Amino acid sequence: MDLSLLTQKIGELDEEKVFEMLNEFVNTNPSPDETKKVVAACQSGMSVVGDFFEKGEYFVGDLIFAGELLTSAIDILKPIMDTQNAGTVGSMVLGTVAGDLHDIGKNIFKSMAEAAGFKVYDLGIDQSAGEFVKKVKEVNPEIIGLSGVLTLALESMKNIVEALEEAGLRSKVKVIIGGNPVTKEACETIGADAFTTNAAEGVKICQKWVG
Amino acid sequence: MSDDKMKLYDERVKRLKDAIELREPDRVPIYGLVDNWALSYYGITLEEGLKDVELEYKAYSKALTDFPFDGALASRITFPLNFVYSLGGGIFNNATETIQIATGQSELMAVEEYDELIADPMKFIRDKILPRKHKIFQEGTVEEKFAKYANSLSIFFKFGQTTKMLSDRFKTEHGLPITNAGVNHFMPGDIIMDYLRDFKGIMRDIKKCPDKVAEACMAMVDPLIKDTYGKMHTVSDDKYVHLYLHLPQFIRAKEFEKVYWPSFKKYVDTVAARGIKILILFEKNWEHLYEYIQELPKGSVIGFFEEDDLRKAKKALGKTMCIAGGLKTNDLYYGTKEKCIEVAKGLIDDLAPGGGFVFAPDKVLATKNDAKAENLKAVTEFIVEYGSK
Repeated sequence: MDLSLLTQKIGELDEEKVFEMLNEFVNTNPSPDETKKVVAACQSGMSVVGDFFEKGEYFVGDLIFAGELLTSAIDILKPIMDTQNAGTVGSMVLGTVAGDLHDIGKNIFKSMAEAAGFKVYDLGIDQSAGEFVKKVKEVNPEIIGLSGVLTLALESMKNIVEALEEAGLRSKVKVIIGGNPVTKEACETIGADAFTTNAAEGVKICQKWVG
Repeated sequence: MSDDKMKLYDERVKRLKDAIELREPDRVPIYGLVDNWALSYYGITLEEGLKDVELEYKAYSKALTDFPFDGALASRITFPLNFVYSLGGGIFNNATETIQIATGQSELMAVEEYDELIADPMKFIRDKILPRKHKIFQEGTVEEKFAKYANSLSIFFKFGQTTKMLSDRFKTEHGLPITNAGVNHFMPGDIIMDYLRDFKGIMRDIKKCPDKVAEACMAMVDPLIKDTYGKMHTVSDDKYVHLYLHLPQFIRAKEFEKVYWPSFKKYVDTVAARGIKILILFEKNWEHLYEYIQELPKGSVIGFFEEDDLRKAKKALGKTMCIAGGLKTNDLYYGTKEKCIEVAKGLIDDLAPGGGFVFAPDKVLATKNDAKAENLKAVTEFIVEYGSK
């Protein structure tokens, strides 16, 4: 298996070639170690996609397609993956905040974060402070990701950060906010640790936090 | 209609017309891109507004006349939600006091069905999509379905009539042009995304079968043009076609050129050739697509931009269309009056000379957090004074 070619083909969103390579690989009855390397190569492909996006060559549609492609790729590999020892680099609780039903950006961020090795607990859309606090207590993540598109999301984000503070959890986690309305000023008002309107950049920030 | 209201109305219509036709108006026009924000500003809920037209009018007339707008997007809650409810629900969820599309519910068409859509879009949507989408078509006898549908249509027509009545009241009571003529369209690519294939579906189709998407878009243009002419029998300076475009921001320029642009251009060219003005909301960011949209017909389009750098947009597109925007909702809510005024002053200095520029919020004001009234008041009053010749 040419790992760098696999990474490149994922980066180019060449679905047929990726599926062909992976199916061939699965048929060779590979060892868990080899499989691990192939999974890593697939995940690196996703960061190639992220780089193209940051350079302005790819657009949101490409990220959506890439997310689906990666999911299908991992599905092909699942039967031979050693899920017991699948190490993660960290964990995060993610959700679209109360009052907002948009999930496209959140889902893109989720697939890119998973590709980077994070365990992501996705709460879904329209999630209240209470739901976030409950989940954080349950799974004890390093990071909390708050997503939203409408300006009203900023208020919900602020409520969530305040609720984390009240529950005594704020100092134990890093909070990143993402989506259309977030800005540096909003980030400061909300009391988050970082903000981004770019999923690829967001994942890099999270990697720094756990690295 | 009193003479002074009539005079005010005509002045405002002319001010906007001058800007759209790329002349310098007597002052920079301000456009009221206001929707549900009007409800929270007046202090009522969406549900209350939907139940009582008079209350709805009071809310919208406060929001549209407390500020010196020269024209406005809509006279009321912009979506016929009561009609949607009567159909047994649609893709909208408004439990949150805003009108938002409930996610992941619009993949109503399979990829294999493109050929049917291409062959006859109206027939396909009527016979295949509507029965899949709306509950009232899924149970009961033909007579029952027909009766329910007739009821829905009567609600829809009533919505249209009331909207026109309210629009006329804005004219006679406030001298305010509501530019909406009841033609609120998405372009074919948006319709496929919003109502047929959903977000993931169309992104995949654009990669895997772009020819089908392009063909389907072309097939849908003529019915859209026909519908437009049906609703706008006469051409007048105070009424525009309104287009809200959202797919292009998500795709590459080459993909746009292939699947979206030909049908979009055909629509705009055809409608503009009749002398109809077209208001376009270019959602999110269109910078990667300027080389295409600069080819739209000259002096017919007012383009509202959300995240584009307006200075760049004016430079690239200013010979083609009137550029609108500039009041960032983030500043309007989280910023100070001084900040809003400073931004407005800079834009007037750079973009007003020569005309072809209209001030507006960068997004439709939808929820209470989209603008603080005191900021909106301060900045619009500043523009009236500073933006005059």
